[in-house]
Amino acid sequence: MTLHFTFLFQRVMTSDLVYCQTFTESRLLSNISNSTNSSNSSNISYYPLDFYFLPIDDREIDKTWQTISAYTNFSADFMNWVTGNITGLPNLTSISQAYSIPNNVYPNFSSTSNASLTIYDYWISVADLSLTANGSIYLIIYQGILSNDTTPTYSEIINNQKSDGSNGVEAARIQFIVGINSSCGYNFTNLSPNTSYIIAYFGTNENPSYQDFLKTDIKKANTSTKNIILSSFAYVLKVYAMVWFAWMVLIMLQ
Amino acid sequence: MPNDYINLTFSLSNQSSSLTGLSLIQNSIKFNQFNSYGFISLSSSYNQSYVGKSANLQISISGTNANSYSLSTASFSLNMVANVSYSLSVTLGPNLNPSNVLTSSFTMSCSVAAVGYYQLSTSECSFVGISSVISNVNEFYSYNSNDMCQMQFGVIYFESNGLTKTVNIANLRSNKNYTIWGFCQDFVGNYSSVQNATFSGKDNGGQLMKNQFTFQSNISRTNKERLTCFLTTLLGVEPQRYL
Repeated sequence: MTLHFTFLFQRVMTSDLVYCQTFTESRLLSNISNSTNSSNSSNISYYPLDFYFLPIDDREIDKTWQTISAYTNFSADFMNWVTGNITGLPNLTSISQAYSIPNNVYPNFSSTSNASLTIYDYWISVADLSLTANGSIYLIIYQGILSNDTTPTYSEIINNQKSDGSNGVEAARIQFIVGINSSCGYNFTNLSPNTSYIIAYFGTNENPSYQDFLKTDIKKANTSTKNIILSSFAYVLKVYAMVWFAWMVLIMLQ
Repeated sequence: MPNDYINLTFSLSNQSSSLTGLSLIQNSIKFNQFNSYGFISLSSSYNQSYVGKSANLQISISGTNANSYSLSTASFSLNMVANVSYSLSVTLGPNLNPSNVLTSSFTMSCSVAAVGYYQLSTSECSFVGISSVISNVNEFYSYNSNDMCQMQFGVIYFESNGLTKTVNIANLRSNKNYTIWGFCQDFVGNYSSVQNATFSGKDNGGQLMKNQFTFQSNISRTNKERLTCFLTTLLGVEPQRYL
């Protein structure tokens, strides 16, 4: 007996992972992609939206890339066709010619790129992540210490799961575009003070599909949030020192 | 092939008085449109004095369509023979390079008469274990659609020692790396070691394309989805396919 693989037919996707679907799936990932970036020139705002047309991998031959290339080659006609068929869209100013992007080059973190962690009481800021080419970085944060930790799989990180199947605290995806981002990061909030956390992350190539992208090895970092009492004490001490310093300056001026 | 199930029920009779402890581990097999093979297992505590003794295995047929079938043999004589030692092994291959994108085949052999099982998975998957493979071969199997790991299972019957069979596989995907895990289970329940082999799927020539739409105001998620549906339809690709 031969059983069938399950396919997810998400063959056209935006850069923030929106695709045509019959059923709306709950999104487990917090998405902070740059899809809502806008630029302003001559008082007119421009909101670019990237579309990815994925190869169709369950056909013996796939030439759909030629089709989309031909359509977008006649940009003005194609734009009229789109606006004529989909009412209620914001004003569409241009559609660029579709082009092929590498789909077989494995991603790499930049050699100097190690996650820089800044810790607070209830949140941890991850910064200084960068890739050598366009792609995405997937992150998960969960309680634990490195010495006892089994690294979650790629799928588990995407689905906010630890290696034992239980939920992590939060998972996120960051889109990284060379030339727009020099580095990127993410703030994990709603954490508990004085708690040890592990952050696991990996990079992918520009292909947005979970089932098709190429990926780096999984990296991990371990840190603890600050003790709220010590942190509050330090804050009070800092305020006291500032007041004392101001008071001393006033006395000296007199 | 029955269009509704039939059941074969087995029972032991006329056991020689000195042949004790012989029993059926499983005494029935259910056949339906999905299952045209089956086997039963018997157990006995081996004793040299049992050699040469016999028992009868009776077979009866029941089920919705039982009257449409008849058995050419309604009983078998079971003769106890001296214990034979053998090694159970499985071989996969040798040529795993597919000639097509969506279909391929591999060969599998068991050193003795046995049932061969396999798990075929994309490279992101691990071997799920012998018991999981066996429990999944006759079941519909669906993984989380967000999972990079996709797998299928199969079963092959080796009616006699040393047979090599070709297993046809389908629903492969372009440019994916696959691993096959295979093992054999003989008719008294022994398992071979698990062997594995890998192969790379063929490339169907597809390319990842990108372009940019520019709007004068922010576009809502609903409109993004409408656009992706429009473009998906334009490419002649159904939006989502289920099994």
